[in-house]
Amino acid sequence: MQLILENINKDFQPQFSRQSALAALLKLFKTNTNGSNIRALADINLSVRSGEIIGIIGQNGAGKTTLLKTIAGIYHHDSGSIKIRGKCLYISGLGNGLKPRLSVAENINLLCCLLGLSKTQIKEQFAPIVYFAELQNQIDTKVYTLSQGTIARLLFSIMISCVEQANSDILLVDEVFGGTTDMSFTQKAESRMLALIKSGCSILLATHSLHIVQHICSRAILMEKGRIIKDGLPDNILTNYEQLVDVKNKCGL
Amino acid sequence: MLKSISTSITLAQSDFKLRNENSVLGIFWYLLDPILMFALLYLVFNDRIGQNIHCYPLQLIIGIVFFNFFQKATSDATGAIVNNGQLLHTFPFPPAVLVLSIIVKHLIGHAIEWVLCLLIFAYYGWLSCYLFYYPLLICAFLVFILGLSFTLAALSVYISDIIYLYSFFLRLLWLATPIFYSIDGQSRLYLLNLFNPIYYYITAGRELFVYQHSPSILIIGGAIFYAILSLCVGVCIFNKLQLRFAERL
Repeated sequence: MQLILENINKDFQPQFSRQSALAALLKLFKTNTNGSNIRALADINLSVRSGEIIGIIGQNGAGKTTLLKTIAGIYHHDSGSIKIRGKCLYISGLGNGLKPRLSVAENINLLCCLLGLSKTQIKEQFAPIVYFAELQNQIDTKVYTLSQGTIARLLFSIMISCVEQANSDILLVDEVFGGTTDMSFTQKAESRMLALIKSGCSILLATHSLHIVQHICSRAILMEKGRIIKDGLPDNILTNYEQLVDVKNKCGL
Repeated sequence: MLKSISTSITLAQSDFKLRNENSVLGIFWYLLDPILMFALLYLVFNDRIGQNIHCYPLQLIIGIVFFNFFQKATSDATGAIVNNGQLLHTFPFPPAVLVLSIIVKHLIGHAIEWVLCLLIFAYYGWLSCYLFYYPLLICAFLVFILGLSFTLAALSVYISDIIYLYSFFLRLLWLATPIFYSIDGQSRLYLLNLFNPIYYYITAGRELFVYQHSPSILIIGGAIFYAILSLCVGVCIFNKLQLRFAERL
């Protein structure tokens, strides 16, 4: 097994807010701490075999992102154990790391570095990233002057190059599909993504795009209120998900 | 570890470029602050206080440059985690990298200010081989600043007004530290400064570069003691609190 999750529980404190020093001091003397927690992940048990591509579906707030971030180590789980064999890489909205006032070249350096590439790897990958994003003539252009579509091309190109270079055994992909409207680039990107998927690493893919789950995943899990409620073949799980959504819509939830 | 340092340097370079973007004066902004402070304090205090202090201009510039480094790095580090919540949510890298990057950025600024120091030293004909001890001194000072930065960065995730409390504390420290005055013959101030870590680093700098002799055992011991203490406390607090940073922001 590439990844084993056993009885993972994770709580969030929705009422947490940064407090003043005085309030923090007073809290030390307060015996009654009425912190009502929200269970973000409850009794998660999951095993991922090598090369398996698992689609994680569920409505907003079901716990898809929390699950991936907990596996990646961004969130700390409260109980249970996570056993990972090999290297694990979490990919999400890279736009958060983008510095619009810096140039394309400087942003490539920065994001590749944040994604764990070494200086040598960044040097090697720089030209392919620029070429794939079709930004050869805009290397020194500040990112804030680029269109949204161009930025999406740049981000995808950085992401895919870093993932390929990282040689990860487990890839945690959190809603990174879409973003460009350029048909020729979309085709190019999809074929490169498919090549990566077929490269043999295990993938956990959190998405709302059901057709992606249906077409590229070998297994799917359905999450609801922090629990895995169904685990099985994508077609069956998608049917379950649609039924769940229908029931919720009828009940007005 | 090496990867974290490399990421810190890249983040620091980006911040440095952003800070100096479209700036006509560029890196000279880094010199303007200590120059103006030096000029002002020299004009105000040279005649009254400075006359009794050996090489007052040199002692003054050392005090200003060292305190500036400490003040800017630790103040900026207070927001290192809080201001980068989005990065912590998106990229799985150790949060300590954000604190390190701020220290690296201010180390670059300090290096530029140190050049100013050297120019003033050269002007007064006070360059000596003791200047080669500067890297040792700055290493100890850096460890002290790093430890305190870890503590402040971690606590500010939980305590919202730490930045205001800390800036108030810094103002007191600026006055309590003998930067533009001397504490020779003032036993109460001297005793107070034994608990002031900055005193040890500034005094060590002055003894090395102005008096051109090795600092006393007390000063060396104090500088090393506070550096280790600060780092141990900082690392402990940071390690304890960092597990929840991403979800708290």
